[in-house]
Amino acid sequence: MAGEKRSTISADVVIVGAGSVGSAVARMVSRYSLSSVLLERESDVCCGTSKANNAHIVCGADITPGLIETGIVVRSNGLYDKVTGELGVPYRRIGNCYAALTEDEVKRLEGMRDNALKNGVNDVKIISRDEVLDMEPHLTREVRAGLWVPRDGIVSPYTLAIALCENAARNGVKILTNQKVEEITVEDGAVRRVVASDFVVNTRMVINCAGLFADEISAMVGWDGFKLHPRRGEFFILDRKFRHLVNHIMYPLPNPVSRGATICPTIDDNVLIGPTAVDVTDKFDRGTTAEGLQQVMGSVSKYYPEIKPWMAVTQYAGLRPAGAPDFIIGRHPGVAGFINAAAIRSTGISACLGIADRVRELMSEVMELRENPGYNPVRAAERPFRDLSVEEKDGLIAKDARFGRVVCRCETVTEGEILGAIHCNPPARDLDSVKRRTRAGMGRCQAGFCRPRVMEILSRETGTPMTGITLRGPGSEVLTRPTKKTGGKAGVKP
Amino acid sequence: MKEFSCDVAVIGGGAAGLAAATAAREAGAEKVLVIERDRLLGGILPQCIHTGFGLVTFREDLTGPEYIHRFVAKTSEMRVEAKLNTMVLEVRPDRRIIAASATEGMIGIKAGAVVLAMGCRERTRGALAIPGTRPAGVFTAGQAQRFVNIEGYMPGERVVILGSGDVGMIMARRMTFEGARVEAVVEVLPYVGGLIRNKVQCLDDYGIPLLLRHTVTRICGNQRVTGVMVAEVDADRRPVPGTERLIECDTLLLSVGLIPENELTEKCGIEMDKVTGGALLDERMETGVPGIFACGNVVHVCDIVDNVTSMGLAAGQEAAKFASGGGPSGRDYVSLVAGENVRYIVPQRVSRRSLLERNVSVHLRVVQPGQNVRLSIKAGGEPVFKAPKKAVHPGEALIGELTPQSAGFFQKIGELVVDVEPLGKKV
Repeated sequence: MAGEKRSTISADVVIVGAGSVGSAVARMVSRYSLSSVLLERESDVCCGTSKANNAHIVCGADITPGLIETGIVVRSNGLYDKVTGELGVPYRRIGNCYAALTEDEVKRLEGMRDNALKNGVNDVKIISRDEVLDMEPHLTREVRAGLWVPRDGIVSPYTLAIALCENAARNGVKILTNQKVEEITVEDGAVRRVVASDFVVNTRMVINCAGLFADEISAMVGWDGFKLHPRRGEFFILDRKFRHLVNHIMYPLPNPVSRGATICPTIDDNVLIGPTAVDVTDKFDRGTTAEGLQQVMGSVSKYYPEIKPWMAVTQYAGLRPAGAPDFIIGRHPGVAGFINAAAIRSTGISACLGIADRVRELMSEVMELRENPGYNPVRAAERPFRDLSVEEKDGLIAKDARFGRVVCRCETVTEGEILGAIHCNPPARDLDSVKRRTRAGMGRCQAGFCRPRVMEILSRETGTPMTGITLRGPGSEVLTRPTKKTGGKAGVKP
Repeated sequence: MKEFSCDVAVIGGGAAGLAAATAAREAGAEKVLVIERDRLLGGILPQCIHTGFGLVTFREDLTGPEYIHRFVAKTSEMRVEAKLNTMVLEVRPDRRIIAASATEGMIGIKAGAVVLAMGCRERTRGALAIPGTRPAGVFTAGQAQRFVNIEGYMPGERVVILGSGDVGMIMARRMTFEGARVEAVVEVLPYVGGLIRNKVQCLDDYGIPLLLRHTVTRICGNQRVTGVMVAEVDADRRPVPGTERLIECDTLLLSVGLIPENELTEKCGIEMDKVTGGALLDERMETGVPGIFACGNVVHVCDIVDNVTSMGLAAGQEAAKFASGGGPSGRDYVSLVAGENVRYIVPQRVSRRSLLERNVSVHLRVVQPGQNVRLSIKAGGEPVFKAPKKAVHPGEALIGELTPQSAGFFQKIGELVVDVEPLGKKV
């Protein structure tokens, strides 16, 4: 992007990165009378690590005691019910069970329980084979015992991040997407401005929530003592038809390298399987691999023999930051106004509310935080059409006929809901953004039927030609040109 | 909520549904209702602008739009009521239908008989677990066909097609006409997946390479497809190490199979056939739930529309009969069992009474291609039907006709075994 085209704006606080952590920080900042800008390099919020993970909200049972991470995860877990309630984000503490298959593994359960107790997770317990099988009738009969962690739960990570951003925006945060941070200027020992793709933001505080890229952002102000690399995790999502196969978050016993592949229901009633843990170098390569997918399927089918690859509706890979032994959350010792919330590893979704709370403490050490009198923590979330009763559906269509047009047949998503996604803030501007907000295209036909319809709606509502509609931002245009005959006047509309 | 009632409700206004609706009217049903979620009747056929439709039904070579127009016209002539832009959300076993419509809100329909004609959907990348990135430029062949033929846009310029299903081969030709370059059609099997005539007319005539025993092992490109890795496969369809190569392209079309769209059927609790992916039917096209019938691609994926139409006609007639109180009193069935080189048979069961009284036609699909074979149907090892076939192919359904047999014979048997066996084989 040409530098001279940048417009200059000002904000008290600039938050870099709109993943779970940046979104939670933005909402926290919006509680106070501060002007703030949230910068995101992708075309929408929540496009990186935060969207492609196992979607678990852990209470801290299995983390090494004594880490910063541990305290933050435990703190965060205490905030989850309240915040998801305020935001209208579905969240369920369905519980997590580690299944021991051998006598050796049974012996290890006690150590795992003691670890949880050290972290203040006091309601874990070792349960018998019969109890495990009672909870999980489709689990292998070879199971011998389990460790039960009742407070672990599930959420849709992108629903949560989008809700945090919507609420932050409603309370005054300016959210700018497609904005890669190029430079952070420091003058007289303090941050002065942030240069992004299309904007220069004059500011006195920068909060680095850049996920996988947090090391690069931090290095811009000379805090370069850590280096992050991506750890790839590959996942399967199974058709809702197979939701009955699993009731809880189910894990093998962790090995020294990784927690292993889980199987669990998702909040939207699919089944999730994964991840792998492979260290890679390219921060942009979110491809799955034949080996990774085989490994995930192989390890889970050992526990759930009925699970088969053909049950999948999709696969994906996520890159989580690795390379640092603990979270790095703190103020820059030499540059005033720079706060790192960096090296947020695989527990990032679980920890994001706690991280925001910790960042609040750090901010309060250097600036006065006056309550924003207009702050409203409540986001009015519409329930999806598919979850309404017949009478409620009828009432909704009577009020707005566009809710009577079902666009995505697999997930029963209506035109009304798609319009809602396009006209909210931050708005959906491409197919993936619509999908994350409404589930249109997330079902078993994977947008086979609804894609042309969603594109048509996006084109009409945003005044973009069909050839300008993208999957996820510039460079991902879906169509290349009109056909020969139509010569630009395409579209046979009845 | 508005309530309606009708004699026969048909779910889906494509080739199967329109055949069923018109046949139900002809068989005397007064009020026949077609419920269609799209803006137009016709299902998938309006986008199938190539020829080859109707060779059996009309003995003419029509395009898809021409073929379906005849049924759409007949539907309105016969005063079949169509509810467009209406999405059925539930079919209950007592033949009550719940649907959503922009103009009428939620509606309830009480039907004397229901015909399921929802068609099929395309198998996706996810069902095959093709590794790689998830860029723009990956389409199912049918979706690409819609973009080109209905919306008027090109989904890409340099194309690789995975799977040699009919839609994939037809799109290879169509994209070529529109100025795109088709680099290859990649097929994991040692033979072409669709009709032979499509291989000749769509690939061979345009010099489009067909790579048999190959598959796509990886999709490359972050925002848009930049290429696909292609490899040879062994007898177990696994990629052979060392044979992988990159084909640069901006588009991957998938023509890797169709899946009957039976979510409503399953939710209704109707017994399913795991092999076809459709409901278990008898020779009257009736499912296990009395008064609910099914026809077309929702039953099993047909290779030609004429078979869809014939199933629709039969289902419509029987539904009308049921709605007027003419359903059978008891259901005493003989099962049809897939034997040698047979993947599936539709219908899956036949009532004993029908076997005694009338001709019963069965559709079946073979597992392996073969030449000089015999379709034979046996009861207790004894053939009751035989027909020689010069060649059989998994892409082309076989149709056999069971003729009435003596009562004594069929009283004894519980199942009929269907084989496609070498001609020389002694029975």
